Amino acid sequence: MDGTGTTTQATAVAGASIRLEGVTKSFGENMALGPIDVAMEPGEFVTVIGPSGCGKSTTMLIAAGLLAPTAGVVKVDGRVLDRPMTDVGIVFQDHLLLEFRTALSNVLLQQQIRHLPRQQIETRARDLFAQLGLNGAEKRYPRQLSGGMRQRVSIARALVHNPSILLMDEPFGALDAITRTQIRHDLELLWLERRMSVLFITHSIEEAVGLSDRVLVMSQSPGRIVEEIRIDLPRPRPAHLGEYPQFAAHADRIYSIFEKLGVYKFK
Amino acid sequence: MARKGLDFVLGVCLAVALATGSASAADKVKFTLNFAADPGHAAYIYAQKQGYYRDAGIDLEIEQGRGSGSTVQLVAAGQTDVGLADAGVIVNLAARGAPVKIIGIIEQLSSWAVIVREDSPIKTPKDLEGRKLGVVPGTAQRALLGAMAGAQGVDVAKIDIVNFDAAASLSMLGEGRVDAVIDVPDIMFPRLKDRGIPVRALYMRDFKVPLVSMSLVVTEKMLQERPDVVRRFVAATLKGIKATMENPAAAVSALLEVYPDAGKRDAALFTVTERAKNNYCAPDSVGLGLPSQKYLDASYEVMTKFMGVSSDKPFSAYFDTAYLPNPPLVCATK
Amino acid sequence: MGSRSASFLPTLSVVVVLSVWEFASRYLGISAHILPAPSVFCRSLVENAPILTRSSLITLQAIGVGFGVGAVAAIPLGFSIGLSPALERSLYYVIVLLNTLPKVALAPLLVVWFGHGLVSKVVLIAIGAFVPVLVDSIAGFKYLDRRLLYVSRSAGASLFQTFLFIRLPAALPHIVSGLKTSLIIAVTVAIVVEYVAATDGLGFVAMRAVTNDDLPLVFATITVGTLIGFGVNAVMSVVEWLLLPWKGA
Repeated sequence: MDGTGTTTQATAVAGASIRLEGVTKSFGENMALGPIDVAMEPGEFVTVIGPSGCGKSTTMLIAAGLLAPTAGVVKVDGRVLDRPMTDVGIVFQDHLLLEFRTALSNVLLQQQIRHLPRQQIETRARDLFAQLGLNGAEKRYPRQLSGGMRQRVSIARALVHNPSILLMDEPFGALDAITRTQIRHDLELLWLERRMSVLFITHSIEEAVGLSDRVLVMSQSPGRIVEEIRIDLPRPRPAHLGEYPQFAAHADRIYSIFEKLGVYKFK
Repeated sequence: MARKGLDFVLGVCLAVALATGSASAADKVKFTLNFAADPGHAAYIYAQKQGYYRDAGIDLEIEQGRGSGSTVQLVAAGQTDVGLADAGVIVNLAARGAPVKIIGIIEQLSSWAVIVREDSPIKTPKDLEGRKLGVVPGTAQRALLGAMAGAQGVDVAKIDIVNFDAAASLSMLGEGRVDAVIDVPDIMFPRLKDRGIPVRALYMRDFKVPLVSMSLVVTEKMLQERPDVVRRFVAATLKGIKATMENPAAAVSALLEVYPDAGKRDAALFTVTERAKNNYCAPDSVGLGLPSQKYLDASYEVMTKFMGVSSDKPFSAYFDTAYLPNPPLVCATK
Repeated sequence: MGSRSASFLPTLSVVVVLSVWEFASRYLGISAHILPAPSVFCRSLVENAPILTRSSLITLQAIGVGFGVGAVAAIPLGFSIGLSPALERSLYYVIVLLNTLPKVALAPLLVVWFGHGLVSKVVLIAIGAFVPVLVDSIAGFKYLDRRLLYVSRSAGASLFQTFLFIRLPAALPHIVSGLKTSLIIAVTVAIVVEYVAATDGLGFVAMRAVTNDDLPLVFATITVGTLIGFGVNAVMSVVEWLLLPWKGA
């Protein structure tokens, strides 16, 4: 029904559908967001791209049920969301790991809070560590890890309980370009295997085009969705996107929208 | 036969009951000293060692104190039953409303003196004029100086008064940074001797500065509720004073047994002997604990004139003589 | 070699200071009534070992109970204030007042209320220990990255779980630093209050020694007091290492 049909493992999950209907957000008198409408299919990888301060992060928090919209509703699998969503994993720009827990223990926080079976979750965590190239990092504290590794641990924490939704707020924003490319690829492989629905917030055109099924381009204050671009390209996608004309075309389109919005002022 | 056995058992029970009954009937009294135990307290410890309180039906607990003011406040607050404190301090606090009364004046004469080096040209209070005198601020010393100066016609303005901390007293005099200090010779002499500083004293009591000092103090409530206990306590205490006057060495032994850190034996013996000789009985006193009315009046005049004690009420308002032994325990002064 | 010189140099400096001191006291005619030689007060230390030991235990008991009471009261209050700006606003001046209060000046008052002995000491030490733990606990519980709470809320954490897994461990370094500050204050307050208002303990022994003109015993007491300070600090370091393993890693 959702058409993804690539379930190959018992651990794989079908994503949930998310709908934002007429959502707005004001802080005081200041209208920050919307109204926006987003419809994500189960298992779909959707990216919201836009300039800084356009309300991307706010959109994600509203989708997670962590922030109440001023108007409009969020629906998950058709049900109105009126409390924080729990069938979810969230990754922020800063890793937001707990400095007082080891890498593995940070991931197992999910198991502790959710009262999940320890053995099973630990096995899953170790598998995720292996997939994310974190072998040997289990017992290290966050401050003993590189920025890239911390972010990988934070991805493991968001996925260890097999959520049907993954929310990511500029997750690679603080990483260097080389790390960013690798981790993007690793994330894509994890998604292909698990097929959770992903709402990915970024200001990187390369990430948007390199990862998404669909890109939503947002304008500045108040943030609105001004364009929707479907990226129908084969996966997994290559490291160097520039060599492929299809990617370049999508990227060009986003650039031109940004120019039209006044985000870029090139002469 | 069985009847006899029962009688025996009953008899034993009665005896036990009486014995324990009389033991538990001993009145508990807490007695707080004016300061940490020092040789000046030997008499009270000795009285306890000799069993005078026990014999009077009192189960006594002696507690060290931290200054007369603090002891009087503990008495007033009901934290302790009887206190030992300076009469001037007691009267000062009572005049300001503390519900306490003096029930016996143990040290009828204070030990205060002007202490000078042996070879000092200062022979009389008048000689202090133009000299440096060390005084600890906030103590009775300044008031005593005023009282002495008044009685001896000394111009205080001409004395170069140096303020210093009590702990510095010894070295100030030893190093000659002052010509004289006001202090208590029976405590200071052994220490100065220890440092090899020869000194002599000009006692306040020899210069018409009569001043009652360490006294027993209780609350008015205690007097109303346990008058008999107070009476027995005072009698036992005075008995201890008398015994100490007769045998200072035994009193020192008792003190050092309970408080090994109260001082060195020879120094303590000097203090106790001096106190026994000089402090417990003023001239013409009625008996231990009770100076003559004339002496009390003179003493009170010093307090009101020089120690900031209010003269609104007569001294008799603060001193209840009804709990002293009758007939009085006469001083064995020679 | 680096680690050898690390322990060698401090030892050397202590030996040098003590030697110069000993020499000065013996040969430069400095009176034992002003500065007793180390050998003199070490002898006093040995001679008075029983009373110093007994008094140290009394002082340590007061420190332990007072510090415990102060800390136990401060941490939950710090948590409440850290989470409630309204509470913080209403209690701010009370805390400032407590902090600036000259604690030792309260001693005579406490003696009148509670008598000489453990209770007065404990109350005063507890007040002294309370404030730093409170201030640091407030900071610890207050300055938490809100997004960490997003992580716990989206995992469906209960308030208690959020406290146990996030807030408490996040605040712990601050709390421990407050505890360390307090412990030093507790030791100081204990000895000072014994010096001015109690009738037992190490501070009382020091006061006795001063009034008895026994300078060697004064120095012996100072030595023991310093050792107590070192001792409780060492215990605290172990506690810190146990509570904050990630700090040392």
